[in-house]
Amino acid sequence: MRVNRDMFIETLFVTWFIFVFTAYAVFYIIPGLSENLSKIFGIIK
Amino acid sequence: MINVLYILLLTLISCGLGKRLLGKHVQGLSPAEGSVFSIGLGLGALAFIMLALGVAGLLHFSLVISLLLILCVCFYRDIGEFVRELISGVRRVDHKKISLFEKILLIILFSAFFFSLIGALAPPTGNDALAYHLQHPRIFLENHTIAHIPYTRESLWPYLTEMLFTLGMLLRGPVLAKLFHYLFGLLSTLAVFCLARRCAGKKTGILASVLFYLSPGIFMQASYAYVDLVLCFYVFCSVYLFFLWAADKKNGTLVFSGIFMGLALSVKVLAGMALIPMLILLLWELSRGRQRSGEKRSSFLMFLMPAVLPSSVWYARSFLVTGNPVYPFMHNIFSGGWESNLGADMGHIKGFIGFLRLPWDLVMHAKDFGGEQIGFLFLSLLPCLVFVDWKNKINRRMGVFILLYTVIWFAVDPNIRFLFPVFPIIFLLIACGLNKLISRGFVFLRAVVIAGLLFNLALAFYYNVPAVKLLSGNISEEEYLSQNERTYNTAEWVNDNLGNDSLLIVAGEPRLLYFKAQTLEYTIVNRVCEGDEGRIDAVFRQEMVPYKNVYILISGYKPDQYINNRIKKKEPVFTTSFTEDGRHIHYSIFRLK
Repeated sequence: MRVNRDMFIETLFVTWFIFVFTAYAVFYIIPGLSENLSKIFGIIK
Repeated sequence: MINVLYILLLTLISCGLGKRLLGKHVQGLSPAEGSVFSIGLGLGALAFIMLALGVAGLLHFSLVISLLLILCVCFYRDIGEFVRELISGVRRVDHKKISLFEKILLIILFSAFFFSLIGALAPPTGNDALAYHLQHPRIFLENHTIAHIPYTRESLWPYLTEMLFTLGMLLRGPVLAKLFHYLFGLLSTLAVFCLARRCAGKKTGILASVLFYLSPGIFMQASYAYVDLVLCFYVFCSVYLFFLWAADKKNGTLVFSGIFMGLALSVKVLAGMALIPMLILLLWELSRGRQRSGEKRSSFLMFLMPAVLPSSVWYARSFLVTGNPVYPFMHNIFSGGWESNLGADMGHIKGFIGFLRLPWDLVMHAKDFGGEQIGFLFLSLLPCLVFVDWKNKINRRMGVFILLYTVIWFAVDPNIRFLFPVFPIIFLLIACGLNKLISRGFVFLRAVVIAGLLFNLALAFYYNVPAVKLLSGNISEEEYLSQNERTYNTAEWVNDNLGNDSLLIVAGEPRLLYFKAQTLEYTIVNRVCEGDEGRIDAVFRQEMVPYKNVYILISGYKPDQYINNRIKKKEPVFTTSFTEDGRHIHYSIFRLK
């Protein structure tokens, strides 16, 4: 039972991780790429 | 390389000085904890020494060097003890006990340290660094004294970090000043490791410190001459010692927690955002204790007095000069200052919904929070908080501190830089939960965490590519600055064409470090004179008297009636235009006299 529960938690975590990274790419990296590469990473102004 | 040697020497002196100050007042500290607190205290003490010298008009190279040598001689035993502890600590490390996962984490961490160091060794850039963090120390050194600089907004702010920058610029130059900020980044990381190790073991310590430093906002700031990592460090040390006090209830621990809060309040007014939750937590602890009311009162004062007394030097200075301890803010309450829309244009969504959405918005809409990033790892690992042992009192206190601080920060000025003081605690708690999961044998989770950290490491490298080119000799310092600092070419023209008998009035460009001529900021004069043309004219007439030539530089500032009248029918003596981050920037210089 413990193994199944752990597998479920790990799958959930990895899925969430990938979801966040994808959203980060869509909302932040890709729009930034079209403007200016240096802006993607948040230059101090 | 000499700059690195200088900062190492200054760290040793600070450690010796701090060890003597810390003494045996805080018990039960590990050698690493003792060293972190000692260096932090020593650097704070050095800053106050610089302030005292500056106020006395004694900012001279020979005097400061002599003083540092005296400190070296006085504290050579403490310095020697620190070096011995460091060497034996390194020797004690058993490589066989470090797992592959931990080794990868440590390689990532030290690579990020290295990339930030490369950035820190490049000439200074960045708005606030060139506008006042380094510009005002330059003026202090030119005058050999630390005093109010007329028609500036910031020169009376708490300037603890700027005192260290002054020291760095006096000994070597702006790069050494930058290394002080970098040093605080390293110290904060080490402090995170120490507390996490104390709470949940060495593995969590490594995880927490890597997650903290690999947050893009942190490693990027470490290569700039800013003050936010100094604030982060001192607030975290104060919180750290408060947690230790909550467990041991020793007065010395609480006093030093207060001292570190005092140092934080000497860095930035916004440290008040950390003081409030600390006082709430302290009152809560005291209310639950079994002490008599007199003892509770004295415990409260043991924290508050060291927090308020040393830092009051800065606020009293501002009050004496302008009538406002937090000039130019709170002008409605105090006599000096002006309307400032602090935090008005920061944040993605205001209100309760905006607060609930913060973890998402901080990552996905980082630009709305000032540009720096907490990083996507924060959001992707946030669910680890579910697995934190919330029955543990320290973890609960950390949670309360984060919540209270974040609420105040969100209400006052949701600029991500001002949230740095809670980064160590957030990542520490995340590391606690994550380590629990990893120790269950979550292989894929380990893999994605490493992938995420490597992504952030790639950012750390990418971000410092221009500095790598500079330090490897591919481009010259002039080329580096021309490409990375918008004012540099204009400043070069000014430096070549304006002599010592010239005054440059600047409208709309706060970055003044690279201008060697005497400067006067029109925007501040305008604010001080409340836009009254008669008063502005009177100020200019008075300021222009000692100078044979007077010029005005206009940039990003729509000339008002007063400026228009002054430059009417005049041809600019210098103009340049370029694009920065999609914005068109134009500089024009006119001769007024």
